[in-house]
Amino acid sequence: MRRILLSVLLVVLVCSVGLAQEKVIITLAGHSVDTPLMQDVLARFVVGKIPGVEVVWEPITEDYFAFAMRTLAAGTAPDILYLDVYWAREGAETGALAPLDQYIAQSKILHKEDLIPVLLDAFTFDGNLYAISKDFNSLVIYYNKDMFDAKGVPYPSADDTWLTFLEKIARVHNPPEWYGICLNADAARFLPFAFAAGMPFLKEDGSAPFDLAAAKYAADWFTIFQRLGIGVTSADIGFGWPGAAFVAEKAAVVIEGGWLMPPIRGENPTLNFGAAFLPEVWQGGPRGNYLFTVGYAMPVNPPSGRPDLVFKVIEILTSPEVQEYILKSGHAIPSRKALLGSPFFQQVDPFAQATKTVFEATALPGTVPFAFGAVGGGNYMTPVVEALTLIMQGEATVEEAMNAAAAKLNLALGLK
Amino acid sequence: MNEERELAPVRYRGRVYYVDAQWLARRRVMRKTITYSLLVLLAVFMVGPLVYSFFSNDPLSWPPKLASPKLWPPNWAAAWSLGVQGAGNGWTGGWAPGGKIEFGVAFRYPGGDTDPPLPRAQLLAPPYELGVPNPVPVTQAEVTPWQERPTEDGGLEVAYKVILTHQGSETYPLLPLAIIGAPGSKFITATLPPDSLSTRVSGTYVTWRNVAPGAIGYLFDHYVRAWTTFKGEGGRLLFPRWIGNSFLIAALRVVITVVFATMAGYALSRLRFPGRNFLFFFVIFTMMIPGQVTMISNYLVVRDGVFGLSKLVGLDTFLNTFWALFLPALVSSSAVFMMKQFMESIPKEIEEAARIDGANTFQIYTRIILPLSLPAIAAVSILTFQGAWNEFFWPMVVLTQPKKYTLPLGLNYLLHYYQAGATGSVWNMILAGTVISVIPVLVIYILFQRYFIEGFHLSGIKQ
Amino acid sequence: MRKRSDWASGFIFLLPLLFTLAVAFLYAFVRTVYFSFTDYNLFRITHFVGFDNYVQLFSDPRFMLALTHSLVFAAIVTASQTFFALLLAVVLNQKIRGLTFFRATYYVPCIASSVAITTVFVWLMNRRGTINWLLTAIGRNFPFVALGLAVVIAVQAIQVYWDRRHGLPARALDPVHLGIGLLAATVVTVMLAQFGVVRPYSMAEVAIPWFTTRQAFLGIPLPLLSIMMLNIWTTAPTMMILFLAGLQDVPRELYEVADLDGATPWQKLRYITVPAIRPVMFLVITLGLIGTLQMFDQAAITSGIAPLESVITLAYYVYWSLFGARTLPRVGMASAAALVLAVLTLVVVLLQRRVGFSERGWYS
Repeated sequence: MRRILLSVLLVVLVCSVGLAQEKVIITLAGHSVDTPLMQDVLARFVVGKIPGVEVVWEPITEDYFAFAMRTLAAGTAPDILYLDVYWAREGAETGALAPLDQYIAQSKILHKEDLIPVLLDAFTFDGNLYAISKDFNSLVIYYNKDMFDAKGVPYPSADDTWLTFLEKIARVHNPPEWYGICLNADAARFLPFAFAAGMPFLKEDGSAPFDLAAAKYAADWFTIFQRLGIGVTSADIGFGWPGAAFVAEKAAVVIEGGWLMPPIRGENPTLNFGAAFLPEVWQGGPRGNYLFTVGYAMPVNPPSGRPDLVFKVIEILTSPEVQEYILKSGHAIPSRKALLGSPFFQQVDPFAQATKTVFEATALPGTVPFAFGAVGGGNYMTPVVEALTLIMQGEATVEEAMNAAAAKLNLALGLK
Repeated sequence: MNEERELAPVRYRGRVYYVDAQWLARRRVMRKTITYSLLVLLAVFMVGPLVYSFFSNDPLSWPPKLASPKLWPPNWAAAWSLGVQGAGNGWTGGWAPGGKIEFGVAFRYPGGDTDPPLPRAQLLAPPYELGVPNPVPVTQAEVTPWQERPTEDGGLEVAYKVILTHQGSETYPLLPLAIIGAPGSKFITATLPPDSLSTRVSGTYVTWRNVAPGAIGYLFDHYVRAWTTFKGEGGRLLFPRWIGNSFLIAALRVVITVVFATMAGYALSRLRFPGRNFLFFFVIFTMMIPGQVTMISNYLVVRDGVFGLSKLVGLDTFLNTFWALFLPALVSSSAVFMMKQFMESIPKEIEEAARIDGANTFQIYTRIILPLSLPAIAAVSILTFQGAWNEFFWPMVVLTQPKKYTLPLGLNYLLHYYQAGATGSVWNMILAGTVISVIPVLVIYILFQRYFIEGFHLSGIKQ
Repeated sequence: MRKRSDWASGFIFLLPLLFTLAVAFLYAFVRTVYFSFTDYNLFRITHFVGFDNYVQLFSDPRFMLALTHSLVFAAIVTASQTFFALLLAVVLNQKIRGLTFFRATYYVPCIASSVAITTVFVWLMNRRGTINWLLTAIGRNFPFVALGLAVVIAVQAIQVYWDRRHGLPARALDPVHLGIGLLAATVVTVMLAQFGVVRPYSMAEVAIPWFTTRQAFLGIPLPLLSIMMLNIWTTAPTMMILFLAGLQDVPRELYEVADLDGATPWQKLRYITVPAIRPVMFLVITLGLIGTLQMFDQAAITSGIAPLESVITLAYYVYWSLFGARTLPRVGMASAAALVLAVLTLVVVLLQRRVGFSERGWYS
C-alpha cells in the first residue's frame, strides 16, 4: 500500500516537473475535417519558421460553434480559432475576440488590399475586422463517372434542370451496390435550392419565408430522392457524412464543396469522378449556391500570452505560399486575389477540374454568403432541418412540415 | 427383473411416488445440462457484443461475418514473409532500401479471351491522416503473367506476379498498392487478401493498404491507426496520454476518496456531536441530487479557480486541469455511506478498550478502525476506480483540450472525429479504439473481480 | 457508558465532507436557484427576470419532449432491468460449479465505459448492422422455428402423458423429455427442410434505422428505444449482484420445505424469494429510478448521430441549453430545467416508496 502511494506521488511530481518548459505553445483549433491538410501545412510552412514557437493543431470534433462559445466564455479559448461566416456576428458580439485591425496595419506581409473584399466584409463588424479569411468554397454536384457509365446514364452537367437531374439519379440508382444520391437533411444544402426557387431570406414583413410556395416546391424536390427510395442519408449506410459514402463508392452523387477532394486523394485516388454546377430550376432558369468562408480569429487574451506571435502564425497561414499550396491540394479556394489566375485551374486532372467548377460556382449569379446576419444561423436552420427530416422519412407532408418550420422560426424571431 | 430395480422416493403435488432411481438420476443430469445451457446462453448475450466487436475486422460487411481473413494463420505467414521481403522485418514490415517484393494475384476472365490484357499495378499514397512519407516515387512495379489455366465454363484463370522494387534510399512505414484488372475480369486470390475490392466499369480494383505489413502490421493495422490518429505537442501521441490521464486521475481519486470517506465514515458512525443524524441524512439526500443541478455553479466555481485558490498553483482557472475533476468529487456521498455502514459493524468494545489504554481519537482511527475496515476500503477503492475511470459527464463539462482528456472523452472524440470527417472504413478504427479503452479496466476487473462484487455486499443492504 | 461529545475531533474528521457539501452542494444549489431567475449567459451582465425562464421552459416543445422521454425512460428501463436482473440472479443462485465464472462474465457490461458500450451498440444497430441482420435471419427462418417449437410441444405432451399414465410423476417441463423433444425437433426440421416441405419465409431485409431516425415505436422514438435496450443490458448486472447478495440471505430451509410441498419454481419465486428480498428490491428500484431519470451519457454520445428530438432527456437538455444549442449559453433555462429534474427525482423516489416496494429502516 505504502509503495503504491509513493509511486503515485512520484508520478504526480514527474508530471508537474514536465510541465515547466520555456517554449511558447500556440494552439490552433480547427474543424477536425481539416486535420490532414492542416497538419501537412503546419509541417511544411510553420515548423521552425518562428523561433521558440511550436504550433499545435487541435482538431475539434464537436459542433464548432458550441466549442467556440464555451471556450470564449470560460477564457480557455485556443490561441487561434476558426470564425465561420455563419456565426461570425455572434462571435464578434461576445466581446471575447480580439479585433485584428491594429495587427494588420503593422504587418509587412498581410495587407487588406491583398484579400478579396467580400471576404473581408464578411468578418468586419462595427468597423472592426475579427478574422482573416483563410479560404472560400461553394457547393457542386460530385458524380462517380464509372457508375454513370455502367448504367449508361449521361453525366450531370451545367445544363441539368431539377427534373433532368432527378431522372439521372433515378436511372443511376443501383442498390445495394450503390445508391443514386447520398443527401442529408442539411439546411446548407437545401437553402441554395430554396433561394433558387425564389424563396427570399425573409418575407417583406420580416417573418419566416418557409411557408411560401417556393420554399415548399424546393423542399418537395429536395426530399423526393429519399421518398422515392433512390437516395439515402449517410447515416443510413453507416457513414459519418455523404462525402464518405462517395469516397467509398456507395453513392453515385453527392452535393459537397472542395473539402471532399483531400479525402478522395487520400483514400481512393483512382476514383473516377467529375463535378458539375448545381442544377437549374428550369432550362435557363436560376440556380442558387452558398459561399462558405472561414477565417482565423484570436481571443482577446490568447492562452500563450503572446498575441504578436499568434498573429505571426496567422500571417504565415494566409501567406501566398500557403494559399497556393492549399489551392493545389484541392481543398478550397484561397482568399488572396492574386491566386485567382493560377495556372493550376488549366490542368485536366479531375481534381483541378473539380476545383475549377467549385471556383466558378462561387461567381455564378445566385450565390450568396453563408451568413444569417442578426437572425442567428441556428435559429434559421434548425427548423428547416427538422422539417426536411420529417418529410424525408415520410412522417409529415411538405405542407405540414414547412408550415411548422415557418411557425418555429417566427417564434424564434419574436413574431407570433 | 422388477426386483432388481432400485427405487427412490419423489414428492410431487403432495404425493409420494417411488420411481426408478436411474429415471431420477437421468432427470438430475439433464436438468443440470439445461441449467448450464441457459447460463452459457446468457453469458453469450452479456459478453457477446463486446467479444464480437473485438474480433470483427470488417465491421461494415453485409451479411456480418466473424471469420475475417485476418484470423486465418496462413495470412499471418504471408504478411510475415512480405514484411521480410520489404524491410527484412517480419514483425512490423515496412519498405526499406533494397526491398523487393514478389506479390501474386490471380484474375478470372469469363469469355473465351485467350490473350487478356495485363492488369495494371498502381502505387498509392498512404492515408493522409497518418502523416507518413509517400513511397510512390521510389517504387517500381512490374506485372508479368505467371501461370494460366482454362476453367470449365470456357473462361481463363491467369495468375500474375507483381514485382515491386525499392529504388531509393529511405525507409517508409507502409506500401499501399492497387491492382486493376481488365474490365469484366474477376478477382480470385492474392498473396494477401485485399482490403477493398470494387468492380467498376473501368476495371476491377483490388487495393491493399499495405503490401509489406509484417505479421503485427497486418493483424493490428486498425489498432495502430486508432492509436496514432491524434498527435499533440511535439508530435506526441494522445491516445496513450488519455490512458495515462485516466489512470492518474482514477488513482488519485481512489486515494482521496478512501482517506476522506473513512474519516467522514468514522465521525458519522462513532463520534458524538450535535447534528450527526441530520448530517448523515443530508449525505443521503445529496445522492439523489442530479449532477446537472450542481454542475452550473460548480463549473463557474472551477472556472474562477475555486474562489481564487488556483492562484496558489499559478493558474487563473481550473478549467482544463485535473484539479477541476476533484472539486465535486472530493468526498463521494456513496463512499461515506458505505464506510459508515461498515464501521458500525465493528464491535464497540475494541474501541472502548483502546480508549481506556489512553489512545486518542486520531490513534483509534488510524490504529484500529482503518485496519479493521480494510475489506470495505478495498471495495470502496475498486468502485471508486471504476466510477472515475468511466466518468463522462463532469470531465466533458470542464475539459475542452484534447491533451487533457480522459479515456472516455478521448473515445467520444475518436467516435465523432471519424463520424464527422474521415472516410473509408472508419468503424475499424472506432472499434479498435473501443477495444483498447476497455482492455485496462478489463484486466483490473479480472485481477480484482472478487472485490468488485464484494463491494456491493457492503453497500448497506445487509442491514 | 459515559456521555462524551467529540465535536472538536468530529469537526476535523468531517472537514473535507463539510467543505464538499457546503461548496459543491449547498452553495451550488442556492446559486442554481438564483440563476434560474436570471438571464445570465456567461458573457453579459445578469438581469433578474422573475419566472420568465420557467414560463419559457414549459412552452419549449423540446423541454416537454425531454420531460416525457425522461419519465418514459425511467419507468420502462427500471422495470425491465429489475426484472432481467432478478432473472439473472435467480439463475445464478444455485449450487453448481463454475458459478463464479458466470457471475464474473455477466458483470462485464458494467465495467466498460458508457462511451465504449454506446459505440459498440451504434455499430451493431447500423441500418445494415448485425442486429438488423439477426432480425432478418430470425424472420426468414421463422417457419423452421415455429415447426421446431410445435414438435417440441407435441413430443413433450405425449411423453408426459405417457409417464403419468404409467404412474410416474413427470412434470410439465420434464428435462429429459425436453431433451428428447429438442432432438426430435431438430431431426424433423432438418428433414423437412431438406425435402423442401418447409421453406424459409421470404421477406425483405430488415433495415431499421435504429439511431438515425425520428420514427417512433409505440410513441417512443426508436433512438431512445435503442438506448433503453443498451441501458438495460449495462445496468442489469449491477442490480443482479445486489439481488444475489440478497438471495444468499434467504434461508435455504424455506426452499426445502417448499420442495417437500412440491412447489413449482414459479411458486417458490413468487412466495419465498420476492418477499424475502423486499429490502433489496427497494434499493434496486430506487437506485434504478435515480440513475435512469438522470440518463445523460448515451444521449450525449449519440447526439451527433441521432436527431436531438429523439434522444433528448432532461439531463441532456440542461447540458444542451448551456453548451449545445446554437445560441449563447442559456444559464437561466439550464438552471430551471435542472431544478425541475431534481424535484422530479425526489417526487418519483418518494412516490415509489409510498406505492411501490418500500422498506422502512433501510438506512436507519
